[in-house]
Amino acid sequence: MRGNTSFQYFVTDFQKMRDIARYIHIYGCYSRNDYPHKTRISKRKYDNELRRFRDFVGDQHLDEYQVGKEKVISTLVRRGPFLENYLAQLYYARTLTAAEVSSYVLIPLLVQQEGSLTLTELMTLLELLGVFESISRATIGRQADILVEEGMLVREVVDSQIIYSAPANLLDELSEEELKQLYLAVLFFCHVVFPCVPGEFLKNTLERYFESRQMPFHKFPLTMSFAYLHHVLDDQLTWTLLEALDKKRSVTFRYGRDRKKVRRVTIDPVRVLLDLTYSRWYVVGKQEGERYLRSFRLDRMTGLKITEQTFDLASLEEQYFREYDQSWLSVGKRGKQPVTVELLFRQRGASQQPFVLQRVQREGRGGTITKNSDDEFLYTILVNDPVEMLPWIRSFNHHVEVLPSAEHDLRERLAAETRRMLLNYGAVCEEQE
Amino acid sequence: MELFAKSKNRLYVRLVDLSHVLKRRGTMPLSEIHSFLMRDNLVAEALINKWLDPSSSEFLPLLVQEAHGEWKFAVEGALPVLPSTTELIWLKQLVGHRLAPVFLDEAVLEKLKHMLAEEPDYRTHLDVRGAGREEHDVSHVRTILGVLLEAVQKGLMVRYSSQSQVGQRFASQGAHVLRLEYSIASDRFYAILYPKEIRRPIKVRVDLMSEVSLAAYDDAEDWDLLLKELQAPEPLVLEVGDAKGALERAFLLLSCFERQASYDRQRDLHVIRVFYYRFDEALLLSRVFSLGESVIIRSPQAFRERFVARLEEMYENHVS
Repeated sequence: MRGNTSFQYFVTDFQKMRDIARYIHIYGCYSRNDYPHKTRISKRKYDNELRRFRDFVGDQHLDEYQVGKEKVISTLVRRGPFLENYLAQLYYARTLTAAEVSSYVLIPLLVQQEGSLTLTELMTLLELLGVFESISRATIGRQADILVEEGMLVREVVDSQIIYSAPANLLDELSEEELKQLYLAVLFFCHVVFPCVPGEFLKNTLERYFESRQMPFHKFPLTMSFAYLHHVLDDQLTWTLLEALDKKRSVTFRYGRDRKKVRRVTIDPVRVLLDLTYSRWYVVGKQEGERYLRSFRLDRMTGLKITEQTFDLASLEEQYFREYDQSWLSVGKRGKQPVTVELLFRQRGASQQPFVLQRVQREGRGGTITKNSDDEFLYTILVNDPVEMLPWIRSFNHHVEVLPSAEHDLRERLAAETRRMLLNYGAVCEEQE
Repeated sequence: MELFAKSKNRLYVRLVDLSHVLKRRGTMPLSEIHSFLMRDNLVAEALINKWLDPSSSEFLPLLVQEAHGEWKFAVEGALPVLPSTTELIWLKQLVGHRLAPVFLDEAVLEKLKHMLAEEPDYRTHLDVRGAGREEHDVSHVRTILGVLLEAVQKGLMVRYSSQSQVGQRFASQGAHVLRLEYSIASDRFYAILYPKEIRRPIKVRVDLMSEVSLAAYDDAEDWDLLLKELQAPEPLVLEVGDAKGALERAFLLLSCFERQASYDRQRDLHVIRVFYYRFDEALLLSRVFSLGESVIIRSPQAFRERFVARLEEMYENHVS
């Protein structure tokens, strides 16, 4: 046992675990002494959060090694026949008190036993059980409503009376063969349909459903190529933003890269973006008094709340298409004209397969392709901010040439950068400059 | 409707499962309930101890004592194991996905669509950038994938024919299925196969395979060892600087690889060691290029030389 009585295993706010999880998983190179210096996370907070992280993620997914005299802890990424996003386990760490746990068990059981119950009947039955020393009607009503919100109960109002009943279980409507198909689909899509955490929950629900019915089930050996896991750390925010969008409500949050420069922002959200290159979430929205939309990174966001303020989503969507149609990644027009970028691709090497062309067809975000010959083609695209394209262009290395343009300086940037890189490797001398 | 939900508290989830065991058995001693709650809850022992100590103020009031030191829930019955609201909304996204028919029969899809009709559709508010989009022959992929999955599960070999991307056809051959993968970036399913005749692993696009059937059981090789041998003999060692967010981008981009990183506090220097398969070298090279000048390859020498040679050509492309 690693515990002591003062340590809280569960937390009320996911944010508490998010920062440390990000540092351990993405960087995985800092020792306890590095954290205050590099991340402004105190040693004490590190100790507590690491312990929780270890408990929920599981030691089998962690690596510990010595660097000099210091111990470094990181997560393990291994490509195997199965993929498990162990970071999603952190979503099982929400606090519940002993009284809450008891009501969450007893209320659905009583409702199930009786078929349906009014709040008054529920209160009476709980009193008869004598399990709670003192619990108010308001508290029971609140707890029942949380169960309704989470899908564990159904609530309806009949003749001014609140009536709770058990919901239909979708899984009960499926045959064993259908459940097997669904399980395979969920195993696959919980890495493909974003945000992924509800899919991870459903995977777990299905496995527990099979166990509760003593039905055998098998994991299917289908994995992902180069899967990122860290995006789930922002799924809590993503889900809240999607809910706000669905209700057409404004949101408010604290925003900033540096904790000392955090500011409160209120926006009308219009889109939630996921950039799969780095697996980073953004929200695009409009701040009050602003003319243009802008994007905000979710990993720099804390304290997100949905407000009571509603907005006109349809007109904001029109603006989104106008401003973000030519966005390569997350930069909107902001009053500037988009610029044309021309990339000349020449496939080098002996391969007969047009892999460069196929990659551009797959990854290009719009634009046109004009074939010059079997191994040469021109890719032309209109973008808001051409600098956003640089990492993608670089990734084609010797297969690509950015054509000169009066509208942007990508070619010059790339030439200067490539020269500095060659200098770094000692492949050109300073005198040659 | 928070994603970080109370109903997903790990101990509560175990109590729901416990209700099914109690329904079957009637009662249990507290020690067994303790063991049941401890499973998968690792070191939450201190809290479980308090919740199951009848003299503690935090004792779970839902438990009532029966004869002979046995305990049960105050209300009999099993709590339903059912998808939560968030799970149902997510499932609606799944059934609307263009690849859903690869895994689900049309009848099942229709049934699910009907059952989820009232749930909101969040897909309209989401924009996923960087995901590939291929035109799939869904029924073909489903058939081939079904046989391959069965082969991996049963440890059987397969016989298959295939063709290259430029249309060159390969005759039917036997192979062991080492792994099945899907790439979101390319929107393709891949099989890593070990054909008996050529005796080296190959990566084949599932959509380019045909006439796939199950073949005999084969334990002639240690398949795990074989995959291990495919790993590059030494890791790629990168030194990463911290200009214009490059440090974060480098760590994010490489977080999907098996790696080990170190930080030199005195020199404020980060070094990443990336462990990779030889067949992933081209992709890794492309990723290192995308990171630009803030990343320097320390070793292996051959990787470094290949990188510099391409860098020179890239430079030539932009100065002429």
